[in-house]
Amino acid sequence: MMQKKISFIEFRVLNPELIRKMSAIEIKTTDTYDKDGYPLEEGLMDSHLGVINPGLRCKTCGQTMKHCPGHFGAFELVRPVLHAKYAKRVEVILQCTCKECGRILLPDDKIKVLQERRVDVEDLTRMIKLRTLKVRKCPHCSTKVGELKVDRPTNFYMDKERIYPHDLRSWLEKIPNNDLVLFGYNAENVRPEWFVLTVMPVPPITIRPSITLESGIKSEDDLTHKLVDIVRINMRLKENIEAGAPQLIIEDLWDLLQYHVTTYYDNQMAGIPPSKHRSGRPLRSLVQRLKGKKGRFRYNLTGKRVNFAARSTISPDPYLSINQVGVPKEIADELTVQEAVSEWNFDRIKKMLKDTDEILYVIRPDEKRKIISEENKKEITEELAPGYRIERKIIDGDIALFNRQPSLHRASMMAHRVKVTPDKTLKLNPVICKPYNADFDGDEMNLHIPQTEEGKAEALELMFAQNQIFSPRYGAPFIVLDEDGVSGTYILTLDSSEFEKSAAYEFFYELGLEDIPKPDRGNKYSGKLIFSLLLPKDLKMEYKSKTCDIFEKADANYKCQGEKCPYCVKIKNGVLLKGVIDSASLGEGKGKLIDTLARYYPPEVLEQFYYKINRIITKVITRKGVTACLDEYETPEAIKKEIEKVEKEEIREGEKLVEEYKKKTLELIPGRTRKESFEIKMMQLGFKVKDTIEKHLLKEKIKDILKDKPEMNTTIMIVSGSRGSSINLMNISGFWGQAAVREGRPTRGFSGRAISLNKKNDLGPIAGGFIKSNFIDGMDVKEYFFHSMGGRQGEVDTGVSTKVSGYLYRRLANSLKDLSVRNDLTVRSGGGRIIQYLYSEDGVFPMYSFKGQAVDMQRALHLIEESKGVSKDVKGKKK
Amino acid sequence: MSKIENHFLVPKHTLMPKDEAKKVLDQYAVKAEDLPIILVDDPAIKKTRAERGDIIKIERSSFTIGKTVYYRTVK
Repeated sequence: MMQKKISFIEFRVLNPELIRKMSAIEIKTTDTYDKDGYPLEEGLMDSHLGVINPGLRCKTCGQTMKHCPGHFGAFELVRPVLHAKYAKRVEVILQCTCKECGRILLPDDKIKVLQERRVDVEDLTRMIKLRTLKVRKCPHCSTKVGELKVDRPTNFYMDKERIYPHDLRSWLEKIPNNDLVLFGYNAENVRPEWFVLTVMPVPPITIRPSITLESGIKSEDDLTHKLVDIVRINMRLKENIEAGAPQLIIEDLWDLLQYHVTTYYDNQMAGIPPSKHRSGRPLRSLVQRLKGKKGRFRYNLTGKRVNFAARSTISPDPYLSINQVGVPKEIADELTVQEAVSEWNFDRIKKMLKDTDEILYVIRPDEKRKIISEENKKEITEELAPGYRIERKIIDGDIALFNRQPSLHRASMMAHRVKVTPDKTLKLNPVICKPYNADFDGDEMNLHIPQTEEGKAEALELMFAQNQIFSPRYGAPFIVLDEDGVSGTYILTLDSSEFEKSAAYEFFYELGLEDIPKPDRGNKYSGKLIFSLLLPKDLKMEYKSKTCDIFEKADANYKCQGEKCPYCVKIKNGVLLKGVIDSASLGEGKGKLIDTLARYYPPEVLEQFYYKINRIITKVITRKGVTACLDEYETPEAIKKEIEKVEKEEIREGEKLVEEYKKKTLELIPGRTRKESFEIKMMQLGFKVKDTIEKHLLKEKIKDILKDKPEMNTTIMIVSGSRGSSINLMNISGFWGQAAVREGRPTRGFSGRAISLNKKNDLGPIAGGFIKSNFIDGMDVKEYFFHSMGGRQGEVDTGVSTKVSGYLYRRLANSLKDLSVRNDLTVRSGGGRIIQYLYSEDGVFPMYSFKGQAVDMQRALHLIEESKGVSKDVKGKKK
Repeated sequence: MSKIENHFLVPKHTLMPKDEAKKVLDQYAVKAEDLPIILVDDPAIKKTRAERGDIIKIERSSFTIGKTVYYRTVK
């Protein structure tokens, strides 16, 4: 727990006195090393500044390299120089103060009023700046206020006369402490004259170590180079002044000194040419070391790197369990894990040590490490005893953390068991793509091996893939079969799907079945029977399937026959009696079967279900095949006529609306203008027209499934809900309908028309972007143009929304990352402050909830009723 | 407009007596400054005449469990 609290942090500006005081030695020469390579006394690499060679001792503190923190040195600047990073602050002060008396250019009473105002320092400074802007005469000493000119960053002029740094310093010295408060400075911590350097601090050599190249040539750090420049110019300036050189030369040297000091701190200042290395590479100044992506903060302090990790491209492998991750042999040989030798695993480890080269190190109880080699292998095998530890390559069954960035939620990093494979990529079961948001178009993922028993236990308890099946957002399974998985299951469980004995036995083999069931259809096995083998024996369910929904949607005359409906699911005693398994059983969020398996059975049940179904489905779908061919999308003659009819209707109705609009007889929609009402009605007309054809098309298409030998094509995908919808079908073989930009008809372009091919002020359907063609026939020029307008908007929207919501989520996650739920269910911050008195104010954790509700009321009531019924039966029997 | 506390979106704010306030702090084992804050000049607590350091009890209606209680320290 927290023992001490930081009450405040204070920032100060180094003052010359302090710089001298903390200096271990005064630097007097630019030379670094003598010809033997030893650091020169009073040079920039003086050994008083710290040690960088192992074995040597620091001349200041007497400690070795490991313990000496390094010490500052210093040297006096012959002429003061402005610290360019403070130039902006100096500018503000010069603007607001008198050069003679150093007071703020406001009368005492006004200063007092400002002092009493409780506002931000920044606001206060702005107010002073505003009020002193027009002051021409100092209210305190009646000196005329000159015109200040700034040649950024470091040169100041007063009435076109240069203010040299020493004048600058004496001006700043004059400002009384009381006036400084108004600029936000506490005179004890910051005096403005300290912004002008008179002493240069020389950082310890630990900060700027010299590197000895293989050729023996010593190479200095960029900072040392810069310091050499400063010291050299400083010395030249001194010599020139002492020799009584002309003012012009002295000023030139002074400016040069200013330049070197400025670029020493920041080599990327606006208006200052960057200082270059001899090779032409810009020098890395102090600011560059800290700033930006490659700076100390983001690169070294926030960016951590770890060992025992691997990264590679991923590929799918349906033969893996969701709990497994396929690791290439090459990676498995590189990654290691420690294992403690105990009396229980002693024999196994001894055998491993003797027969394989999996074990790389043996660690004795006294922490001595021994590398295993051919020579000492025998000896060490003899020596091995409980209490020893070994470090070995990872093998099947080891625990690994698997992660894909961006890690947005808890399921972005899950624990898996290693399965070493001879392939070249990391492999995972396609079922767990969803939580990782992974696909296989080149995605890479990271693998970490927990090293300690605690780490492994924690990973297994908290992060194991099979325990992550429920979404932490809405409390329904989100590790679900998709696409091929759903299509395959659908095909398997269709009434018409039957398997010869030979085919069925392959499935039984995949399932590892020992008791072979009897064929249920004469000599053949039905797909339903095979599917039933995967279900727990006590499962009992009844629900409506997606297929039935689609049938009802497509055909107004079709009604679900309830008990007799051949598509609605009925499962009793773990046997699929009737119905097809589609996305209403397996899908994300709405999959009833998956939900039940995950919620009311141990996690192993669903894990095994996925493991087995993946094996079967891969076989089924490769054998039966789902193929879409081009003539499948050819528009049937009946519908072609239908489309023609509807398109005529669209044009007719559209023209009618235009007419009404122009005559101003159009019925207005409440809260809309006439123009808006018209546009909305035109859009609605387009949708209505499209909808009728969509239904007809779907109805026509469904016939594919109803055949004795169903066609394995697009219909399978649409009806089972695995991919695609009737809208996609409509776009391919129907017509596109109304093109939309920002939920309305495209209007922008030329005045009175969207494209120049239209007549001016043509408001009709065709000019407004109604597309009569479909993807199979292709669009005409105008249609294509309108279509691209809508397409472009979709593209922009996805781009913008992923960017915006990604950043928004990041900020939210960062601000919440230290919060935790405590044992009393309060939510508290890292510092123990209360955020919520009851988690989420109702104590419900969505992941363990029933679709957001604390309890599944319907099921609870059902169970109560059932238990009552049972007890009644028992009573009845007793009588 | 004048009676903000009567608005249906403003939950009920009540000033807690010292002994009850202490009970709450003891229950959660925190100091008053570890609670969320509410400003003295917050319109919702104007009527309670609360002073700095007092604890305000806020009863809100909740969609899922009917009613939730929240405490804030006056700052």
